[in-house]
Amino acid sequence: MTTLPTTAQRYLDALDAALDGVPDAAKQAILDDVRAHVSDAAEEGRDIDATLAALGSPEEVARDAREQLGVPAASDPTDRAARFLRWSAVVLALITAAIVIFLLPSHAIEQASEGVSGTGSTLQTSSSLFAQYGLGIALLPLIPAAFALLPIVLTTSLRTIAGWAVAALMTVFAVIAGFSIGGFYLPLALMLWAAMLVPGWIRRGRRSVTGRIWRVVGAVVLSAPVILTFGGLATGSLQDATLPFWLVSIGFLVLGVLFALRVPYIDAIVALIGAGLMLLGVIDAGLLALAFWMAGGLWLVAGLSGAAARGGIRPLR
Amino acid sequence: MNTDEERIATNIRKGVLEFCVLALLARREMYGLALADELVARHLTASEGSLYPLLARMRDAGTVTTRWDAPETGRARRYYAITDSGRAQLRTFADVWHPIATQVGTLLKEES
Repeated sequence: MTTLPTTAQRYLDALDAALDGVPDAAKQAILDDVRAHVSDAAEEGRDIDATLAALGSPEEVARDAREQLGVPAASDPTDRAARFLRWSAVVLALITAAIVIFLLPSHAIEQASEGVSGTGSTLQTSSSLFAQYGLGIALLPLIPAAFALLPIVLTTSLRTIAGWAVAALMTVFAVIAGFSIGGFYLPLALMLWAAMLVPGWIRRGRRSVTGRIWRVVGAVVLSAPVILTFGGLATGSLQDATLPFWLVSIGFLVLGVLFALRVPYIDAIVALIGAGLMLLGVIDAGLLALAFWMAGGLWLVAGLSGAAARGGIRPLR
Repeated sequence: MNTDEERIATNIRKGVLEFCVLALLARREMYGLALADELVARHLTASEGSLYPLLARMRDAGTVTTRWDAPETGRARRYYAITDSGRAQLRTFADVWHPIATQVGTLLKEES
């Protein structure tokens, strides 16, 4: 195959990305034909920029392809990423609410009563928020879930504004309510920001280094909890560093690097580990529950953002 | 061309491009760029890029077929050819088109 000028290759990369969602066979045929069109024209000595201009923009060609092949325009990669993350936020909001309503206070009580009697587990559900204050109060933690739904149910014109507003509101709540119940909503706040920011990254990072840069930022975010722990070790506020601790820490850092390198399935793995950490925090971390929940939330949001962006950002070639 | 002319031309071409492609392929099989050049020379398309999604659909629908031609020298090319079902489509289009073209022509003549 003849090598194409950079502008032509960039056009083809952009077309490849824009054709996302078009059935593979048709997509490949279109890409092959356009590549041949450009190569043939170049071989005949025609001006490459004029040839590309005459083809129309990659987005126009992709729009034609969707129209011709009956692929709904909604499968625009930025739209899909936004929808995926918005629904993830709703699910996360519901899970957070369920934990705050049914598990959290009982968890604290279990901790308190552990020294007195060994039957902590039977007490678990007896004095949750639900049991203590009844249905009315217990439903309050669901309000964030209702807010998370707003960007989905509102009309397109209000969606963006609602998305930013809800993300900001949730952040303010998470910070004001601080290290009590609010902290449990921090992952949700992050997810809401991701739902607003990731589509923009896809749009700008579609075929440039931007995609790679955001991956590296994601890796730094992923490593932050481990680095903070190292900080704790260095200053002496954390002292019981055992071998398993080092293995897990190094494992996490390696995963961060793999995330930056955009290894296959790494997004799903990172998201799953995040979900696992959150679960662990709720079930078994005792005083560190919130720390586990937040670190896990960070991983979950980064993993899901990476997965959402993968549809739209092509790797560097 | 001003914007009104462009808009009208785009709309009309959109409906007939598929059959112009079939008519050209009915004469002889062609590869992408040659087909695009011919359509542009006849002012039948403004954006050449729309040709390839159209060809992909026509191939799915079975009105055209493709084959690779690898010459002794130079690059292998994918040639498009019309199928029997494509020829049938072209005849149907002709039956629909002729009365429309005649009527539109008559109306425009009365108008001027």
